[in-house]
Amino acid sequence: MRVSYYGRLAEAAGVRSEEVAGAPTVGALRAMLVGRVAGLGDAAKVRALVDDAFVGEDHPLGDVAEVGFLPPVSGG
Amino acid sequence: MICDGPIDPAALLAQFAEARGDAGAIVSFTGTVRGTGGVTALELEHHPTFSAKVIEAIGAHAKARFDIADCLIAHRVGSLAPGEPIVFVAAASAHRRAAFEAVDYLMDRLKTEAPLWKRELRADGAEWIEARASDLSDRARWEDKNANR
Repeated sequence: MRVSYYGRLAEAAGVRSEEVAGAPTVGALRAMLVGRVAGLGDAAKVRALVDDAFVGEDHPLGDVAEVGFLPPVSGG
Repeated sequence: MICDGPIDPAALLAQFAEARGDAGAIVSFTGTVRGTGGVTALELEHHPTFSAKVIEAIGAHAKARFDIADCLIAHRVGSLAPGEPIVFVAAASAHRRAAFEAVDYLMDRLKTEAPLWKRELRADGAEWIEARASDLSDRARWEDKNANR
């Protein structure tokens, strides 16, 4: 599955997106990546997006093609 | 709409007024990149599909909530220099209050909810910007529908 990072997370990850396998849920994916991508562990601030909808930590990733991790926004 | 090239607020307002000038009242807001604090450029990143959807939904909410005939949102992304327009919002209504309120509401929601990520570049480095506490409290003003109407 493709994992995409936005804003400060892309900078922390060093890439805008990457292939990651073996995570059954969003929470498991986050746990897998948090050691390498600073800030990803804060689920209250960094939200996960699947098919243009925010999803919770227990969202299954079995047939998901892409997960986005979105840090706090700053428009306007 | 999301614009990856320069926004021309005067042209956008002229087009909007051409289409909606018969409404009775048009209010617009233009936000520009502040040149204070040694900022040399602002970079705005967006999500390829989700950002436009959220911005469109915010516009639809404004149309449902206020007595406006139409509204327009244009948000820049990419690299901007101080002084450049970053956001343009307009609303048209039969009477001015609804258009003023709708534009205020649109900006409060864009600041706190539009999936855009802003980075200030300075001579001595770069800094990611997040919605400020004042932006969040401005947004919260609209949560009790009756409090500010």
